[in-house]
Amino acid sequence: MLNSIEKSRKCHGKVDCHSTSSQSSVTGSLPKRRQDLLKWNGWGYKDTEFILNEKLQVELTGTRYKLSGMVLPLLKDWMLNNFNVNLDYVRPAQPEFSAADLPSPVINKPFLEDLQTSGLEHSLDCHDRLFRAHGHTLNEIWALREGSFNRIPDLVAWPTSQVEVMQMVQLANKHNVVIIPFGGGTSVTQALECPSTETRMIISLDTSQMHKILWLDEENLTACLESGVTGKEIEQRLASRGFCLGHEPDSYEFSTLGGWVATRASGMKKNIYGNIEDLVVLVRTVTTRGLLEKSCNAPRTSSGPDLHHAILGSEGTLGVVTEVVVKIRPLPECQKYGSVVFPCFQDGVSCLREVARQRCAPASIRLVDNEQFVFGQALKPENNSLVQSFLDGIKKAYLTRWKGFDINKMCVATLVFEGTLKEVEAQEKRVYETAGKFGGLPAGEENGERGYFLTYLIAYIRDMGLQYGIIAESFETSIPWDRVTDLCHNVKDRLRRECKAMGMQHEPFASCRVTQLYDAGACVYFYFAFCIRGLSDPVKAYEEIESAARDEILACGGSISHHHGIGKIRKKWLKQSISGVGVDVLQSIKRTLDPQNIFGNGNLFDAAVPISKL
Amino acid sequence: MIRAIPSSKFFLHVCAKQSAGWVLGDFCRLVALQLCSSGSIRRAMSFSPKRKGTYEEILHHRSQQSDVGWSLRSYTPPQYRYCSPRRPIDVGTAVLASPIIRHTVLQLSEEDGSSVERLEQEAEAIVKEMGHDLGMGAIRLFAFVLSKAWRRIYKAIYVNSEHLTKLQGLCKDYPVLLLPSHRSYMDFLLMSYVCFAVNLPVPVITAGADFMSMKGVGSLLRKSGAFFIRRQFGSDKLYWAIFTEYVQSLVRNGDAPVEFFLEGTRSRAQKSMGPKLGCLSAALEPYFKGEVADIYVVPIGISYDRLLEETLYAYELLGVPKPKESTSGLLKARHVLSGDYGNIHVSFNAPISVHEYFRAGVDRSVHATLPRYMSSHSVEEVACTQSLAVDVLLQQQKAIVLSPWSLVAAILLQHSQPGGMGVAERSQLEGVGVAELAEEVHWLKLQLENFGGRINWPGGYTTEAILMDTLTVHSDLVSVSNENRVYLKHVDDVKSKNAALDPVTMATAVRHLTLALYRNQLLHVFQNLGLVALVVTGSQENEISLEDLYKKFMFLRNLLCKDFIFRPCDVEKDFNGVLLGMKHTNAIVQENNHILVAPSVNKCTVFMSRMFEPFLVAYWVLCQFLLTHNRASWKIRDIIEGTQGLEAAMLNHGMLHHYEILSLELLSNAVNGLIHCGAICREKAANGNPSLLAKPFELSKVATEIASMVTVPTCDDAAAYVKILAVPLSAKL
Repeated sequence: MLNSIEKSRKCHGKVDCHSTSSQSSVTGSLPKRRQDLLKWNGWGYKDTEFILNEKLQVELTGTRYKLSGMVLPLLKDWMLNNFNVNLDYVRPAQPEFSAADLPSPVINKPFLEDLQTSGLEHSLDCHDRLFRAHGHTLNEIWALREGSFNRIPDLVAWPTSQVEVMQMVQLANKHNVVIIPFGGGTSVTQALECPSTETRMIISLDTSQMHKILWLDEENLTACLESGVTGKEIEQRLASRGFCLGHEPDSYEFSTLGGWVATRASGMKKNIYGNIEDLVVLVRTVTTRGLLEKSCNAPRTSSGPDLHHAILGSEGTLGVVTEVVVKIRPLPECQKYGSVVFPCFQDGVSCLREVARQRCAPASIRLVDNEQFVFGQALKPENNSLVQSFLDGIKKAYLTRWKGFDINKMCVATLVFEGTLKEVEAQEKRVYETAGKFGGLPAGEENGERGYFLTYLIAYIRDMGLQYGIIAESFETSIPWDRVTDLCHNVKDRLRRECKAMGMQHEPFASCRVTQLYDAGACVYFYFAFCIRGLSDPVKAYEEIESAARDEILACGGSISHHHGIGKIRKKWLKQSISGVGVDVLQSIKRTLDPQNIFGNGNLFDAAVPISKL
Repeated sequence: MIRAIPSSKFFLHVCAKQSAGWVLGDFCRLVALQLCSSGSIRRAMSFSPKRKGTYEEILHHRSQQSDVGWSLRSYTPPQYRYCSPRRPIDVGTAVLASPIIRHTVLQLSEEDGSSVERLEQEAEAIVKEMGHDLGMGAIRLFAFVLSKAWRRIYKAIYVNSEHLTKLQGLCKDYPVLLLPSHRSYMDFLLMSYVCFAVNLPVPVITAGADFMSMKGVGSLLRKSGAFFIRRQFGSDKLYWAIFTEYVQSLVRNGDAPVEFFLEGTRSRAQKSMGPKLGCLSAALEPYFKGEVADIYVVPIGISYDRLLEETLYAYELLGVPKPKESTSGLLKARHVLSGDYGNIHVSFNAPISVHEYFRAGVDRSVHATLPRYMSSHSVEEVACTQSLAVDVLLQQQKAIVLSPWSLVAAILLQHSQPGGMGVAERSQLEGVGVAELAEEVHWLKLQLENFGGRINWPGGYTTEAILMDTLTVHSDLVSVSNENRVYLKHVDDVKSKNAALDPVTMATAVRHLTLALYRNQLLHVFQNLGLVALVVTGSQENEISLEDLYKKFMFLRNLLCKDFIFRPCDVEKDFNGVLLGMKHTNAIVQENNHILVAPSVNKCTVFMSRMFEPFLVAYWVLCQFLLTHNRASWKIRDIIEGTQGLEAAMLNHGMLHHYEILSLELLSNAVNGLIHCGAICREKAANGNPSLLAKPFELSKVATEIASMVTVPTCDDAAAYVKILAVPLSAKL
């Protein structure tokens, strides 16, 4: 083993020397024809969805998740009560597009000829192209279900290595063809959308076939990974060697390392492992001017502004991230969920603030508000055990009657502890003690675990909502501690208010959670959903409301985004956020690295487009 | 017959500052009396139905319920959803622990070396002095006592219900600021009473610290929700910080609606005064800083058919001591109980969302990079706050329901002939026929309604009946003889501190000013109309171009900007609006772009210009005073007293006949208006005190302009008034 690592260190990422990992990487978790495994017009695996069974109860199909195959008896009523929907009112998705329904490809013939000669793998298939025309922003999913696309990529390419990416970029540069890098396709900022005004040929560069672990260095606890590998794959493969990366964004089943770098992603367990910018040691990016990389794997350097930070958050506008050296950690001995209930949201925030002050946060700590707490309760699976439901009743009575909790105000913090047994015990003790000072009561592992599962299932639930005329979306921000509670109140109020102003009869579901703790502030994540009956253009309505909510966030002192990024939907606030000079700096980096705007996905800001050679 | 006016019995002592104590002191006596008196005298409600339009009566409607039952009834007002309930004393503790106070204490200690402990003690003392102590006990006690007391003297209290349901809902979602007009001491108790009656949360109220010193009363007021602010604390940083934090703490936590009076003090002249922004900008800061999602501001117009303080105000406006009363307090209270004070109208206007109001003009994100405790208002925020304040005042005016008595007062004050004897004089000597008066009242009522005024005019009665009813209410000012003639009652001679004012003149002035108070209540309806009328009736030409009219209109708006509430940016809109209204009612005749003067000088324009004439006359005398006294610098006090003396002399010599121009408030507004127009300028004297500098050229321009519109003494009189001036003023100045 040691031998092989020595060897891998020498080969410097050119070849994967480790036989086991090379075997497991023969097929990555994402096939080239993704639509065979994943839904073409919704979130996640084809075999997994929430349906109403013949008893008119919500059931999760498939076998992939802990809840799969289970009935969620409370969910339907929760939906009916919160959205004023009617099960007779359904909005079925349109049938799958045929080639005729999609824009015909723009073909740059010389480029295509060169590409064919080069032997790089690619496809002009319309479904391949459609799959890469979107992320999971609400209006994109809506277009798939009920609308259409003006512009989709004209060709999909699957390079299998950095060398092939370099070839692709050279070809594109030569023929003035646009490249849009495509990783997991989980963007929620319209970052993957093809600019409708783009007249050049657009190539979607799918990184999914670059999913190898190139080497692993146990001594320095680093690993070199190709950028197309998904989070789940990374963890599985590292785990087989006794390590982990510890980066778990909510989309980690599908999102890729390259995408994380490109959007400055944040993982649920950042308290132990750090966000993506803390995890990377070295990033290799293929630009039209050549490879941008550092010369060593040193942990920190002072060599002028850190160029990694030009790439982190560049959202595919500067080049393709191909290989990343990341820090890894030994697998923790013990992982444990937990939860604490608080009498009200403000108490919960005060507790989280105190935890951050003491810097004693466990791997993950999240505070969900009352609305989400109630929603979480509605996701409880069917309970066949009388004893269990009896116990649940007693717990509830204890909280509300004995402890004076108001069921309409209480909220819950979910916890993940990681470390050695002893460490976990000590952490638990300290966190529960701190929570006690703010009226918090431990509420068991199961509540905590369900909270985290909800994260992975929420997008599936959204698809079910769309079926019944409910649209839902999430957005996030980061904000100093003293403004967290006010932000949550104000933004939720603004959402309700804007809905009312649009003439909606029923209050929307507006909910938030504090998901990340920092020394100086926190990340707040909002869920927002409403029933679209009676609205002529629901997506436009949604976008206006979200825009108003973002204005409110900025007015409260929050940021433009904590980890989702700018994409296209938040471009209008970039200048306000980083100043005119700041935008100029970004523009000049773009001009230097990509003068022809080959990486022309149009994210962050509008690049000055050169006169087309076509 | 000389009859003491009942309301005067409330106010034993002269000084306005002390009078508050007596009002409330009398209430305590009232309580005592009520508790031993058996049952209350219910009045006939003929003119005061239980419900009219959107207005509901709240004083009598509980026929089955006893006052005890009513005041102890279950009262569950809506509560702000993010309010964490706390005791009043906790507000003070939170204020002392707040970052801004800690920061200010440290900063002050660094600046002048005083110890932190001393400053903290000082802060604690200020908070103690300030703090309210709102409790339901006091509220219920007030509810009980006031029900009894008020039913003796008021026929009805009307509250409009159209916005109440919405307001009740809003109280749950947002902090609310109640901003009533302030024309009587009663406003304060009345608002709390109304809130209790209509199931709104009882407010905490910003009150002047002069109430506080009164023993017993101070703590009673605290218990009913008052917190006390010193009138002057200009540069006291610690006090300022505590005051703003106290208000903001209440707004942020939404403990209760915060009530304060935008005008800062009671408007003794009964017309809105310019807004004071301190309290409003402090209360809005939590919105600007994103600490609350929105704040709702509720303009409320309160009107009384008859003021408890009517004579007191007249005396205060003249700056003269009120004669002492000899009878004991208890007897006075008994006397008050027999008075008839008509109706009260409390009109809630539509709540204004601060968020909607500021949405376009203010970028709140500018506060994102400073710690929250650092107080800072952006330029836009200051401008928008100012504009909101003016709008609230205009809304209050719009909401106010006028009494028919205001019409009567306006008519009685009118002079039939320029320079001749007015109805006021006539009505004292020979009286005015009821029928004649009714006709005039009816005409003025139509004008009022045409220009957007609201008046309490019960349906199904003749004008004469309504007139007789209002004359009865005001029987202390007027009497009706057997021959159906209305007479104005006589007032005792009044002595003034200002030697230039003789007792007979002052007595006439008191009578005139008492009427003017009620006339002033309706002026806002006609303020733009009046200015146009002044220009038209004063014109010597056959026609006036719209352009000239607009210029003169602008001039008058600028000059009178302290006497009336105008939105500066709306000058064109107001001008066009009022012209349209006047054309529709045939008050002016326009051809092409000209107003034809002859047909436009008619009953309406003459009446209106005369109504506003006294204001211009006072401004003119002030200009003359400054022009004839050559001084390097002035104190505002000297200008006002000197002008008042000059006015009195001119009135004595029959050169002027508007006794209301002796009002000190009017003269103070005149000085400020002239400052606004650049005819007087503010500067700092050598010793650092502020002083005023008269600018002769501008002053004479203003005087000439005024003289072109209204009748003022001619040049022939010049010699006379210079002579007049020399005598009384030389001694003083």
